[in-house]
Amino acid sequence: MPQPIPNSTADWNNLFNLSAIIAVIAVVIVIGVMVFFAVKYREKKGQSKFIPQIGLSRSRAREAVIFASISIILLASLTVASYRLTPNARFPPPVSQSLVIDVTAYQWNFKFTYPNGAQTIGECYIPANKSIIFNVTSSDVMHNFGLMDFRVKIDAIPGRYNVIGVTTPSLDGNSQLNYTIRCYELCGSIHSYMMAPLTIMDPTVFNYWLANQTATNATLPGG
Amino acid sequence: MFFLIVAGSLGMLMRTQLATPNENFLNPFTYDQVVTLHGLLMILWVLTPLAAGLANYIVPLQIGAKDLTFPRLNATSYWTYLFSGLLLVGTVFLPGGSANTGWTLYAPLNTIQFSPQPGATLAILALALFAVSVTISSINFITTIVKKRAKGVTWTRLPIFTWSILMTMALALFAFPPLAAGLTLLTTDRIFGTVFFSSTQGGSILWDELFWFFGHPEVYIVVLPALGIIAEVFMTFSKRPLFARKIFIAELAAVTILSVGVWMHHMFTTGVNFDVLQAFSITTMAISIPFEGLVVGLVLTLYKSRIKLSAPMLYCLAAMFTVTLGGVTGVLQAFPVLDYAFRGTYWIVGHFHYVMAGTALFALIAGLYYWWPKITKRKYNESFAKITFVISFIGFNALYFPYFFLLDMPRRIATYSILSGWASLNFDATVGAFIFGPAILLTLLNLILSYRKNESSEANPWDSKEMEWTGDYSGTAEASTTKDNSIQSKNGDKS
Repeated sequence: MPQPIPNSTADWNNLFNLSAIIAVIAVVIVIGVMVFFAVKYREKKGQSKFIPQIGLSRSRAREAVIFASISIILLASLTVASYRLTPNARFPPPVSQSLVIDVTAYQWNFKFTYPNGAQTIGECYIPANKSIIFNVTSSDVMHNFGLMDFRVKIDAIPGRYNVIGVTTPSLDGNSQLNYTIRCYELCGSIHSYMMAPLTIMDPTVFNYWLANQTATNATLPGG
Repeated sequence: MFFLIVAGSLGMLMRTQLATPNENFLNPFTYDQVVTLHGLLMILWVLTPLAAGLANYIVPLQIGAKDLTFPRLNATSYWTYLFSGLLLVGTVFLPGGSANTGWTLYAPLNTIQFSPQPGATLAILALALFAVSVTISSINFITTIVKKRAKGVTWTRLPIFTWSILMTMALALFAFPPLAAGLTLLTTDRIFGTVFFSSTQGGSILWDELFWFFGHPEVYIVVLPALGIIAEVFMTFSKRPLFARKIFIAELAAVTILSVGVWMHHMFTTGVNFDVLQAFSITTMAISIPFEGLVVGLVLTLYKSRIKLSAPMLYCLAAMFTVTLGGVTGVLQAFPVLDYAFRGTYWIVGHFHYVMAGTALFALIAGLYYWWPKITKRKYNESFAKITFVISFIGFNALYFPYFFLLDMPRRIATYSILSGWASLNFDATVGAFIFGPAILLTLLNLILSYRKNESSEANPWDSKEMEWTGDYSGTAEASTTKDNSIQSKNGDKS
């Protein structure tokens, strides 16, 4: 079974594709026109002395305003489109409807603390079809909690709790879904290896797993 | 030049390391130092001073001054710059190595607790010295341009390159003090144990704010002279006045002013209040509008012109391509939501290499070729220059274009696993690097050889109408040659 694409990723991809298409069209037009001019007006042998025409030297305020307006309209509409996406990550559903997991990044791993006090190191388990809130901090230097499969990232900053929310997809016939959490901020020598597998399980399996975790991992490193 | 070669070689080292998964060519700590020095040297010790160096020759010529107003300050600035650069390179050889924090020097990784090596402290001092050098230089340039213009060089007739340098220097004067302040605080943190940035009460964010308040204007400090050069080269080689000259200058000014109000788009994922992020998202898009105007104005300059595709012109056309691509990818990053995915990935690396290594470096090479006959009175080898241009343009794109597809590969990782699926694109980039690097070396070789060969050039080989070539600052000669020209120059001034 192929892994389903999370909603946040699908939304992100749509917005990205839309803006990327506009961007590519803009580049093709600008560069295309430039190359066309460069080829069309290039100097050829045996041409008479060139006297520039003066038609273009007059004030160009009107054209400038038109160009600027087109880009303002484009950018404004894309901004409005992007507003629709923002609540998912930065304004997740209320805590009462979500599973809140405290994440502590440290050199060089992630520690996950679940609501019942259970802790895991370097691996994270969450249920499917559920709003998850990651409450991210760091116990030493600045890290980044990056979940690229969901197109979300948030910095892990010492002394600060940053919240990022995701809604997990349904399993779609898979027994579990596997993603990777990575650190996206240079945090020292082992930065390249700082990652943690994220496993999405069936909610019943998850509850069983969570209930069997002990909350006595006080000797774990990282705070 | 020396720093360009050092920093370029560091870049090659990185690409060698990343060519294949699980490579052990450099160990992670060494790799981090290489990343840091490559970034710092390229942005601060290569691109910024190359433009300032060109300006040192060209600005006085363009405004009809003998030299900069304060020659001694100029020398002070240069020797401070050289010393600070050597100091930075030298820190590598200290026990414990140099700074390993990336050029952004994020707190609290930059504090004594997490990077205890003395090399990191010295690197920060070298940076502070560099900030001093830039500040001295910017005051010198601003004074010169404002006060030392020859009679007849009015503000409306001031050449575009000089305009761009004026704005660059004003921006530098504004942007470097926050950096200097940050560096001073960081130094006292490291030496005397103060807790500005090691504090968990916002120390990390404080550094972010100070650094990016400098860091984003710095991008424009690098890019504005490049745009100035492109404009000069386009005018000379297309034999047309700049399209909508006054609007162009106004747009340069708008970019300069707006660039100090966009720094927080580097901090979209730091958990800053979302309304603030939206505000900075809007300022970032706002800056793209005058910028787009600049690009469009340059392209339309070529309309109905007579273009000579010499090496400087080719480099400028390439720089236009990279600035457009780097620009639109930058606009995509201005959306906080999209940036959540871009943040810290190779997409960002691709974006700013298109702007910095593409636009700035290509335009600076164009400027070097263009003004080479003026500066050295020598002719460089034109066909050699064209061949190296083609090689470096192909190498450049092979090197940086794959980065836009490495959307989930984190920046500054020293190695990656074969399972990540990043291997083939990275290999492609490394091949590109081994084309691009030597091509830049050949370019430098061309310039050095032409200097050695002593083949003298005519005074105005490009048949340019610009003041530094004609040596006529009064503006009367060009108006009296032909009727057509007089109309053109009048209109050129008005538009």
